[in-house]
Amino acid sequence: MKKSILALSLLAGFALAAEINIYSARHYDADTQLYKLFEEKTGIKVNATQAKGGELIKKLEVEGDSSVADLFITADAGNFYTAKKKGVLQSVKSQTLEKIVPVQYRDAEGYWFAISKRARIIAYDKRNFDPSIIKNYQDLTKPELKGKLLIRSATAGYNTSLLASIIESEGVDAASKWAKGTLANLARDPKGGDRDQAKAIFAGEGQVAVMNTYYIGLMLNSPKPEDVEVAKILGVIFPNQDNRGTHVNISGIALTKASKNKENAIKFMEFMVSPEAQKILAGINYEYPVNTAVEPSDTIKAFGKFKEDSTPLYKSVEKISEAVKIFDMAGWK
Amino acid sequence: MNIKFWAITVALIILVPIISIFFEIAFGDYSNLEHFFKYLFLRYIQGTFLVAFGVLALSATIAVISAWIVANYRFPFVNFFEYALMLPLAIPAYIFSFCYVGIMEFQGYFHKIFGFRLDFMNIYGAIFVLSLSLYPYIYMFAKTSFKTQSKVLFDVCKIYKLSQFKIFRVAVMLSRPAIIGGAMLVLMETLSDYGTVAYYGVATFSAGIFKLWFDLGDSYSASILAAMLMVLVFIIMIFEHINKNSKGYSFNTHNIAKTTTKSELNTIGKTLAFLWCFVIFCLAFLFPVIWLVYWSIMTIQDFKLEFITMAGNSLLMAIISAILITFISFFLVFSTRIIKNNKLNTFLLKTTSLGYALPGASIGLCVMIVFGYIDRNFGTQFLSASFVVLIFGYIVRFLATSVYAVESGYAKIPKNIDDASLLLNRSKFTLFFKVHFPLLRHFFFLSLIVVFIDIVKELPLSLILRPLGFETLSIRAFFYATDERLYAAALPSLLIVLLSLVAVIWLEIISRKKA
Repeated sequence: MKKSILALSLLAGFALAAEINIYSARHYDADTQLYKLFEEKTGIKVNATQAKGGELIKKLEVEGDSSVADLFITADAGNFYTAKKKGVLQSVKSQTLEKIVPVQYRDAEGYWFAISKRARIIAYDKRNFDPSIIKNYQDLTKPELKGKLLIRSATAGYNTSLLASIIESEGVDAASKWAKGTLANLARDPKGGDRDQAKAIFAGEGQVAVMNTYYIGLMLNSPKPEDVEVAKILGVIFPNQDNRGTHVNISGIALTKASKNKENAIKFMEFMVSPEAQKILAGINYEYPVNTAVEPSDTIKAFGKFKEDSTPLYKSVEKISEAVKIFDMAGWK
Repeated sequence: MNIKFWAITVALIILVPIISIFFEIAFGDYSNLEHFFKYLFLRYIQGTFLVAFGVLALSATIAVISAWIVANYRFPFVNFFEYALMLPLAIPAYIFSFCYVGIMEFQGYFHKIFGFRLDFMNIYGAIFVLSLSLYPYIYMFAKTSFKTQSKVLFDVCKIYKLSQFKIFRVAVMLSRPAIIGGAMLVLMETLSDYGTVAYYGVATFSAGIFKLWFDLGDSYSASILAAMLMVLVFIIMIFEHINKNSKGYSFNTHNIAKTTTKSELNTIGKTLAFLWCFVIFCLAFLFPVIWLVYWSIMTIQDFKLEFITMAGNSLLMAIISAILITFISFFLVFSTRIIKNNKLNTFLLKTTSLGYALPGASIGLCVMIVFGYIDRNFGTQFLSASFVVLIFGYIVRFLATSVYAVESGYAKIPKNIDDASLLLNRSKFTLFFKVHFPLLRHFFFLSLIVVFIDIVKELPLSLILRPLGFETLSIRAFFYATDERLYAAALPSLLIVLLSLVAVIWLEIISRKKA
C-alpha cells in the first residue's frame, strides 16, 4: 500500500503535458469553480494546494528550482512584496494583463497582478453614530472617538498594509501618530476577526470599526439571521474621498521563478482577469472585480461608488516591515 | 541485531529536522530580533507564562479528579462518563475557540439564556478553552494508570485505615509518571498553540514566532525564537526526568495486572460525582458539539462529496502514521530501558520528543528545509509530490504523545522482571513481546488513540507539507474558519469529531475484547 502511494506520488511529480500547478493562499469556493472552468475551456489540468501566504513563500524558497509550482496566488499585496524580494517570482509580459489590471494594482515590473480588490473602510453604527466626524483615516485619532473604536490586531495583514499606505503617502511621523492615536481610542484590546468587530458594534461595545467591505457583504448574505441583523445596522464610510482615496488591498497572482509550464500559467493568469472569471470572483466572495468591465455584486454596489487610493500598491508594500514595527512601538497588540 | 545502534539511528533521523532549526539560524540576518526583544519579548514571555500555568493548573484539576472518580466509584452513568470524558480530545482547539465565541457572543446561547455576557475573548477565555480541549491527555493517562494500579496497595491503605482523600493522594503520587506525562503533553500543546491565542488576542511565544515569520517575512529570526522555546522545553523535560527517577515508585508486586475494583458511594457522593462529570462533559463536549451540529444542519446544503474524500484522506494518514509512530516509540522506549548505561539513548529520546513543543508550522519549516535540501541535490520531488514528507512530519511532531504514553506504562513494570527474563536467557525480543507488551497493552491502545486523533485534527503540518491537490478535513475546516465563515466550518469540523469518535469507540471495543 505504502509503496503504491509512494510510486503514485513520485509519478505525479513528473509534469504531464498540459497542466499547471498552483500554490494558493486563497481558499474560496469561487477559486475551485474557476479552476474547473479553466480546465473545461482549455483542457489544461489545474492542480492546487493551499497554505498561508508566508508558508508558501518559504516553501517556494526552500524548493528553489525543483519546485513544481507555476503560479502563486495570495491575498494582501504585502505577500507579493516578500515573495518578489526572496526571488521566487518571475516577471510576466502580457498585454492582456497590463490592459485590464490598473497600474496601481500590479507590480511595476510585472512580478504580480491583482485579480480582485477589497476596500478597507470604516463601518459605523447607524443607530447612534454621526458619520460626519469621520472623513479620513486620520480622523480615527480624534478625541471624540475615545473608547468607541474597534479594530482587529496589528498582525492582520489588512491593518499593516493600511498603515504602510499611510507611511507612503503621509510619512513615518504621521503614521506613528495615527498608530498611537487609534490605539488611544480603542474600545477594547484588538482581537477577533473583522466580523467580530461588527458584532461588537451591534453589542454596543463600540461605535466605529475598521473593516473590509467583503466581510459586510458576506454577513449581509449569511445563513445566520443574527449576522444579517448585525450587518444591517452598519453604515459604510469610504475614507479620504477628498484627497488620495480609500485604501484598497488586493488578491493577486504571480508566476513562480521555477515554473515549468510558463505558457499555460500565463494563460491562466489572463483567464483570471477575464470578464467571465471576474464575475465569479466578484459574485461569490463580494470582492470588487479588478476588471472594470465587470460590475461588482449588488450587495457591494449598494455601498456606493468611491475614489480608490491611486498610490501604487507596489510602492506602499515596501513599507510593510516599517508599519509592523510602528504598530509594535505604539504598543498595539 | 544491535538494538542500541538501531535506536540511535532511528532517533537521529527524527532529530535531523529538529536540529536543522539551528542551521537555519546560522544563515539569517537578525535586524528584526533587536526590535522584537526591545518592544515585544517581555509581553510575549508574560503571556506564555500565564497561559501555560493557567492551562496546566485547570486541566490537571479537571483531569485528575475526573479520572479518580470514574476509576474508583460506581455512580449513575459512570461507564458512559468514563469514555465520554475523553471525547473533547476529538475537537481541535481552534474549533473549540470558535465554538465558544459563537456561544458566548452577543445574542449567543449564553446571552440568550442568562441575559448577560461574559467577555470571553481574552487570556482567561484562552485558558478555559485550551484546558477543556487538552485535559483529556492527562485524564486518559491518569485513568489508565489509576485503573491498572495494584490492588495490593489499596489493601495496605485500608489496613492503615487511611481516609479516601489520603488514598487519593497516595494514588496520585503513584500515578505521577502518567499524570506528569499527560501534563507535559498539555504544556507542549499549549506552548505550540497558535490558532486560539491569536484569535483571542493573547501574546505567547508561538505568536511571536509567527509575528516574525509572517508579519516581518523573517523566518530566520522566527527560527531563533523556536530554538529558544525548544531549549526551554528541553530543560523542563530534564527536570521532569531527574525528578521522576529520584522518586521511582516502581513497586514490586505479584499481581500487577490485577486492577482496582470500584466502590459504592452514598447518595450525596453519587450526586456530586455525577454532577462533576456531567458539567465537565457538557462544557467540554456537548455544548460545542451541539453548536457544530446546529450549524451543520443550517449549512447542510453546502455539503460536498469531496468532504468524504477528505475524510478518507484524514483517516488513511492518521492510521498509517499512528501505527508507525506507536511502533517507533515502543522501540525507542524499550531500548532506553534495557540498554545499560543509557544516558545517550535517554538524551536522544527526550530530544526526539521536542517536536511536540514547537508550533506545527515551525516543524513544517524544518522538515521542508531537510527535504528541500534532498530535492535540490538529488533531483527528487519529495516536497511537492509525496506523502513521505507529510508522514515524516507527523512522526517528528507526534512522537512525544506516544513516547509519554508508553513511558507512563513502563514506569509501572518493575525492572526486576526484565532482569529475571534476561537471566533466563530469553531474548530481548521475547522479553518485549511475551512480557512487556501484554502488560502494556492498555498503553499501546492509548498511544494509538491519542496519536490517531492528534493527526486527524492536525493542521499546520498537513497544510504546509501535503502534496498538491491533497486535502484533509482539518484543512478545509480551518480555511473556512480563518475566513470567518464559521458556519461553513461546522460541517467538516463535525466530521473530524465523528471520525475521532469512531476511532475511540472502535479501539475501546478492541482493547476490551482482549482484556
